[in-house]
Parts: sequence; C-alpha cells; structure tokens
Amino acid sequence: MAEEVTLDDLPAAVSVRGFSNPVIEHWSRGAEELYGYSAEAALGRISEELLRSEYPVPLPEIEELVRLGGRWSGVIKQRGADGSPISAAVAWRLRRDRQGFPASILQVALPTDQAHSERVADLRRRLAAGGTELAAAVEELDAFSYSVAHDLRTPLRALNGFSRSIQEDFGAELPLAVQDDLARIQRAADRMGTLIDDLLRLSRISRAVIDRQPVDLSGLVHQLAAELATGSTRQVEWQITPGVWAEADQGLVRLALENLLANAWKFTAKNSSASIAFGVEQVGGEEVYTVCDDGAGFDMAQAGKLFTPFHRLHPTREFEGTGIGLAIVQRVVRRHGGRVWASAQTGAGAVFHFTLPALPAKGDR
Amino acid sequence: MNEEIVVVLIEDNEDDQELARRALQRAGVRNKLVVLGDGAAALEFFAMAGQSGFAEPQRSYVILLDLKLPRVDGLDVLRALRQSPSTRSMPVVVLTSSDEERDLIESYEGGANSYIRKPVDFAQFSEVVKQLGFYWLALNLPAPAAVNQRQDDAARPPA
Repeated sequence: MAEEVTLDDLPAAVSVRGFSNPVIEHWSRGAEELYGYSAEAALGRISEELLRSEYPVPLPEIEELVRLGGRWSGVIKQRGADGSPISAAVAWRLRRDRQGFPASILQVALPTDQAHSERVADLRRRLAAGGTELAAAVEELDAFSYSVAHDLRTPLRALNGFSRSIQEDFGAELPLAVQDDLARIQRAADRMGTLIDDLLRLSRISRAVIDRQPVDLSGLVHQLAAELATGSTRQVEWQITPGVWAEADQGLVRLALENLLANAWKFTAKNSSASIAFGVEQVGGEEVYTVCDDGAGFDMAQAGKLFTPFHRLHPTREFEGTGIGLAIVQRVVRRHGGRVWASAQTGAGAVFHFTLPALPAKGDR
Repeated sequence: MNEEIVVVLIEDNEDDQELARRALQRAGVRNKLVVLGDGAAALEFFAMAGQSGFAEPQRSYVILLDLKLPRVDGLDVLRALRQSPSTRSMPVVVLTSSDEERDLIESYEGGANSYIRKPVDFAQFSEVVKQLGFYWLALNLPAPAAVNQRQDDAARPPA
C-alpha cells in the first residue's frame, strides 16, 4: 500500500479553521515554521486574532465568497509569534460536512517572498525556453535567407534574360505592343530582384552581431551629407549639432543615418531651397537624436505604417524607392534596444526621432 | 584572347547555362566551353583531366563555379580542386546568385580567385561575362602546364 501523505508532510503552512466558529482545528508543521506558534499554542484559538490578519476586503465578504464558490485566494498580512509581519499568498478551500453545510476552511499559505522567488524561477525557466526558441528562430531565418539569396533570383534571370533575348533577336520585326510587353517583363523581373535584395539587407540587420563602440554621430552625418551633396546642384542648408556621440554599432548606425538622411534629401528635392538638421535633445534623462527636414512631410494618420517594409506613403512617380529605408532604420534602432518615431505634417517637413540607449553591461547580441 | 584556354562552367540550372552561353557568345568569346551540371561531374572531369591519357592535358582552364550544386556542393568542389596538385593553380571564379557574407568568406577561404554575383538583369550579366572573359582569357597569364606537371610529379610517391 502506498505511503500516506498528510498535510504535515507539505512544506507549506496548512491550517484548518471552523467556518462559522473560526477557531483553528488543524495546524501543520509548515504553519508552525511560518508563524512560530506550536500546534498546541494555535489549536482552539481564533485564527484572525492569533495572527492579527489583515485582508484586502472585509472578512465577511470573503467568507460569503467561500460559502458560495467554495474557494478564495489572495495576499493577506499577518503577524508571527515574535510580532514580525508576514505577507502571505493564501488559498482557501471550503470543506463541507456530510449534509453539505459549510464546515471549515482549509488554508494553504505561502510567504510572498517565497511566492516571489518561485515566480522568478518560473520566469527564468520561461526565459531559458524563450532563448532556445529565439536561437531556433534565428537559425531558421538564416536558412530562409540563404535559400532566398540562392534560389529566388535564378528564375528572375531567366525571365529577364530570355525576354531580352527575344527583343534583341526579333526586336525590329515585333509589333510595338509586343516590344512594350517584353520591356515590362524585364522591368518587373528587375524590380523583384531589387525587392529580394532589400529583403536580404533587412534580414542581414536582424542577424548581425552588434558590436558597440563610441560612435561620432555628428562626424558620420557630415560624411553622409557630403556624399549626398556630391554632384548635386541643389541648395540644401545642413545644420549639424557638433559633438554628438552614441555607444552603438558603427556600421549599423551608419546605415540608419544614411537612410534617414537620404530620406530627408529625397523628400526635400522639390523645394527650391531646403534645410536638413541633425541634433540631440534630452528627454526625461534620455538622449533623443533627431533628423529634421522641411520637405514634403506626410500625413500623421499614416504614421503607423511608416516603418513597415515596402509600405510607401508617397506614389513612386512622385518619389522613387522600394519602401525599405525606414524599415532598415527601425530594425537598426531596435537591435540597439532603442525606439524610433516620427512627427510630420503634409507639406511642412518631417522629424525623425530615435534613441540608442547605452547598455548597462557589455555582451549584447 | 587566348583561345587555348577552356572555359568550364559548373552550373546546374539549365536556364543559367543557356544565359551564360549566350553572354559568352555576345562577348565574342570563342573558347571551348565545357558545361558540367553538378559537383560530382565536375570532380570526375578534373580527375580525368589530371590523367596523362586525357585528350588535352596541356590545356589551361578557367572555372566558373556556382555554389549551390546537386550531389557535391560548389564549396566542396572548390576545396577538392585546391587539394589536387593538377588543379591547384587553376583560376576559379565563383559565379553565383548570393552575396551573403558567409558565401564570400567560405569561397575565399576555400581558395577562390574571384567572386562574382550574377545580376538579374541580362544586360548587366553580359557585361560581367565580357569583363570576365577579358580579364581571364586575355589579360591574365595562366600558369604554364609545366606547373601542374611538376606538382603532379611532386605528389607522386617515389617509385
């Protein structure tokens, strides 16, 4: 026969008190340990008086809940034999007599610091499981990107190549409409090639290992501004706050700034003279970097979709692009644990804000 | 162009084989072209080429190698070519779809002489093939056959 397990064998503080006459009827070893009263001292005493219990709601209400539903749980404040405060998570179960009338309440109590440490242990377990899942997800992304890189472009080469071949071999003999269709096929294949390349660039950021170092953001912006201005006759006034630094991955942050500045450059193209500014603000003890332009802006009602890959707020015929730039910016910022957001008005320019919080400790991946 | 040099294309996709053929034609490359459809066929071909009974043992080769190949993977073909004395000094140009960093790293670590990503646009691809032909078939001087011969002798155990 199996060994009998009694309430006394449980490490938790288990006690039983009468329902209508709330005297203690049972007092486990766990209860002796938690409250510091021996069973002898506790049995027959009124539970609430002995332990000076404080409930989150009046006790009669709880008793009514127990009478109707058979159970209650909550956190209560009590005092041990030495007067020390005890905060306990308790679960109550109603026990009934043979006629089915409420007889007593079984209470299992767990000091909340223990409840807390068990919750922490549970979170740790879930975090570890999440880490394994994350590693698996990264591995899958890797495999996915690999097959995209190798396999998806091959059929596009055939589409583009053979339609071009027809055009070159029979070009003059073909009706204009057919020539036009062939050109469309080629353009579509090229465009899909570009989209695949954009997707791969995006996934590369997700897979990159972050190497944080002090980065001279102002210096980077100067460089990138010079690159944009090369060969251009546009009138653009740059306002670059000097001496702005961040602790970040140089390559990735360069990529983010490149896209933000290219955006500002692009969307001010229709201005006769434009101004683009880079700076930093202190907001609630946090450094918020800003890239600001006085270009086409956008409708704030659409701001939610701004960072979605391949989503474009302006038609291609007005401003070129595949809609990957801001998705890249967001991914870079997120890989650094930061946030990016925008504020704008149609026709009145746009401001992009982002943070790159410094890490308390090294070793981010 | 040095028309003695044989161009060996190791590529499994028939469309890509055909496009490469046309691009070479357009570039005016009249060299002999050998097309091998998988990695194992490539290794067999070069094992034969190393043998003295092979029809053209004195020929020089330029190898255009795709990475993702059936049976034996492109990177394994590359490593095998670099291990065998008779193929060690042959120029290998990786010609593939991917520009993933790990493909580049493994290719160069495996001993590739060059790495080129095939563009989707055929006009660009033709230009790439033209440049390739100009560099490897005209500008670059291949290793003399004696180099491979000597390496073969060195590798052979003394009689």
